[in-house]
Amino acid sequence: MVHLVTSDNVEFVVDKEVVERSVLIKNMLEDVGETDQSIPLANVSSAVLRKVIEYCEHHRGEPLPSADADQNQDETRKRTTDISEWDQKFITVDQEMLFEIILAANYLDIKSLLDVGCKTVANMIKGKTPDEIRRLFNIVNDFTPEEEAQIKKENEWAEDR
Amino acid sequence: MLESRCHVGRVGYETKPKTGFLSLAEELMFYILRYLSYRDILRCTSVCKALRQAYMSSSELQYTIELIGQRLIPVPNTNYTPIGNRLKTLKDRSHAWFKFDMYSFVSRGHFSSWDETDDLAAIIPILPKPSQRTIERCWSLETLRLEPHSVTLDVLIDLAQNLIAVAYCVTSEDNPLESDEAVFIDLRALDGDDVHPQAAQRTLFLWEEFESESDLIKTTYAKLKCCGRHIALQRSLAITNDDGKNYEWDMQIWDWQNSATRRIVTGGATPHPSENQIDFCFLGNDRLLIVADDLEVFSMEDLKMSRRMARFKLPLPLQCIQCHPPMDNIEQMQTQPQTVRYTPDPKHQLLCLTGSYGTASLVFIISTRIFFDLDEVAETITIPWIHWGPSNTRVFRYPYQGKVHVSGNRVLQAFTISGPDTRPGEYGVRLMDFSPIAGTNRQGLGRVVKESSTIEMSSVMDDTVKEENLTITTSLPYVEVVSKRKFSVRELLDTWLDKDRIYLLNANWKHVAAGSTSYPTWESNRLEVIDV
Repeated sequence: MVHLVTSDNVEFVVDKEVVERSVLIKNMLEDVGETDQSIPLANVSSAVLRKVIEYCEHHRGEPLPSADADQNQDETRKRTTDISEWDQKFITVDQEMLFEIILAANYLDIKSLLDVGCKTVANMIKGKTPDEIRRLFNIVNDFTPEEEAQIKKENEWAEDR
Repeated sequence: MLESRCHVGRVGYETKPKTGFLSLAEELMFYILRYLSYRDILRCTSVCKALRQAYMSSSELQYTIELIGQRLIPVPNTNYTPIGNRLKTLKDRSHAWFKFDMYSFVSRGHFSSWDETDDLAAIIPILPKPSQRTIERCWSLETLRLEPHSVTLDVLIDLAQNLIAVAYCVTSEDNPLESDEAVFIDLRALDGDDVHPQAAQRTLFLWEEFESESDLIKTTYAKLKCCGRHIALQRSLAITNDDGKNYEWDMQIWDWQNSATRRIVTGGATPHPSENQIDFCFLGNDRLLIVADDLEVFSMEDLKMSRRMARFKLPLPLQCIQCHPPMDNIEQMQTQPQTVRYTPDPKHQLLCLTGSYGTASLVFIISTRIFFDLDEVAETITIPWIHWGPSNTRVFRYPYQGKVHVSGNRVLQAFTISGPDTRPGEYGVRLMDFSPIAGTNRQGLGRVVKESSTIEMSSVMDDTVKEENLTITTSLPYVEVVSKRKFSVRELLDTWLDKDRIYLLNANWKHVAAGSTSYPTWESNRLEVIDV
C-alpha cells in the first residue's frame, strides 16, 4: 500500500498496483524503495485525487501505453478523439474539475488519463467559431482589432473550402 | 481506497483562482490542438494570444496546416528528419514560388521525347541532382517491335516505373491496305533490353471485336498513357464497310503488372476523323477521366466492371481537346523514395484542359475535387456546367497550343501582352497558385485574384456556331505572379513546370543577310530550367 497526501492534507492509502499507473509515483517508489512514509502531492487536491484514483482503479491491470506508440502516430496524424463509454461517463464533470484532472494527469504523468481529458476538451472545441470557444471557456479576446483582422485574413482559406 | 484527515503538515487552504482553460500550460494546449482538424486548429489561433502562441511554438501543428494548405499528403517518414526542418522546407518552397526569377539558369532532371518522323525515342538527363539516378538512351523503335510491317502508334516513357511502352499496329504482309490490323503494346525496362520485370507479359495485345466481318478497321491515331499499374490506350478508328466509312473511338485499359487482358471502358462514334476530339487522363490510381463533349469519370477499382461515376457538361463544345493531367511525368521522375516526404493529394490537384471554340483558344483550369466528391446521383445524370463549373474552374483565353502547364496546384501560362509599349506577338509568362494557403504565404508578393472573371464568346463564333450572348464566368481563386520578362512569338516554343522548377523551351534565331535585307532562320533550341 502507498500513502499519498494531497494539497489539502488528506491522506489516501492506495494499492501499489493502482497508483503505479502514475509514472511519477512509480519512479518515486523505485527510487525510494519500500517505505511507509507518505508521498506529498502538493499540486493535487483531495477532490481531484479521488477522481484520479477512481480512474486508476477502473483501469487496474491494463497495460501501460508504450512511449513510442505516440511517436508513430505523429506521422500519420490520424488521431481519433473517440473515448470509451466508461471513460466518457467518468469525465462528465464540470469544467473546473475537467481542467484539474488534466493538470493532475499531466503532473502525475498518467498518459491515458491525460488523453481522455484532452480529447474531451478537443471534442468541446470541434466545429465552434472563435467567439463560441471564448464563451465556452470564458476566455477574454486579448487581440487588438488589427491583430484580429490580420489573423482572420491568414485563416480565411480554411473557412471557404 | 482508504482516506483520512492527516493531522500533520500545513494548515488552511490557499485561495486560488478557479481552474480553467487558461490554467493549462502551452504544452497542454498543444496536446489538445493535436486532436483537432486543420479548420478547428486555425479557429483556435484566433481565440486568444495563449492559444495562438501554442500554435506558433509547434512545428508539428504548423506542418499539418501547411500540408493541407498546399494540398499535399504526408508520406511515412522513414529517415527521420526533424519536423521543424520539414516545415521550413515546405514553407520556403511555397514562398520561393512567388519570387520566381526568370534570369537564373540551372538545369536538372530528365527530358524524354518521341520523334515520329525518324521513329526514335529518347530520354536525356539534364544535369540531375547528385542523388538522382540518371538514364540516357535512344531507341530506334523498329528494333523494339517484334513484327515486321508494323507502325508505331505512340510511345510512353515513365522514369518512375522504369518503363518504356510502345504501342504499334501490325497489318498483313501481303495486303497491308485491305487487311485488319492487330495492335500490340510492348513493355520494356528503360535501363535494360528485356521485358519490364514487373510486367505480367512482354506484350499486351488486342484484337478487334467488331461484329461484322466485312468491316475493315484502321487505327488512325492513338494515345498511350500510364498511371501506376494501369496503362490506357485510346484510339481513333476508321471503319470501312459496304456502307462507306465511319469514324469511331475506343478506350482500353490494362492492369499491366498483373494481367495481359484488357478491358474496354467505353467508346463511341465521332463525326470527324480528327485526332483531337477526345483526350483522357488518370486521376490518381483508381479514376479515369475522358474528355470529349463532356467530362466523364470512370472508376477503375475493378477493371472487370469499370463504371461511369459522373458526367460533367462543358459550357460549350470544344475542338482540339488536350488534357494536361494533374500529376505530370516530370515531377514523377524527380521523386526518389528516400527523399519524399509528401506527395500531391490527387483529390486536390488541378487539371488543365485546352481546346478551341470558334476562333478562340481556351484553357480550363479545373479543381480535381469535383471528380472525387461524387454521390450516387451523379451516375445517373449529366451535371450541368452551372452546377459545377463556375466555382471550381478558371477559364482563360490563351495564345497557342502548348504554352500552358500544370503541376499540383500551380499553373504556368504564357499570355499575350497588350499595351501601349508592347510589340504585337509578345508574350509574358505568369505563374498561378491555386492552393488555398497561397494567399497567406505570398508575403505581399503577387496578386490575389478572388473576383470572378468573364469571357465573352459571341465575338469569336464563326457562322457555324451561332448562340446568343454566350459568356463563361468562373471564380476559382488564385494568386498570380507575372514575370517581367517578355518573349517574342518565335522565341517561346513550350513551357512545363513541376513542383520546384520551370522549364522553358526557347528557339534561337539568327539573322541571315540576303542582299539588302536579312531574314531570321532557326538556329537551335535551348531548354531553360529555372529553380523556384
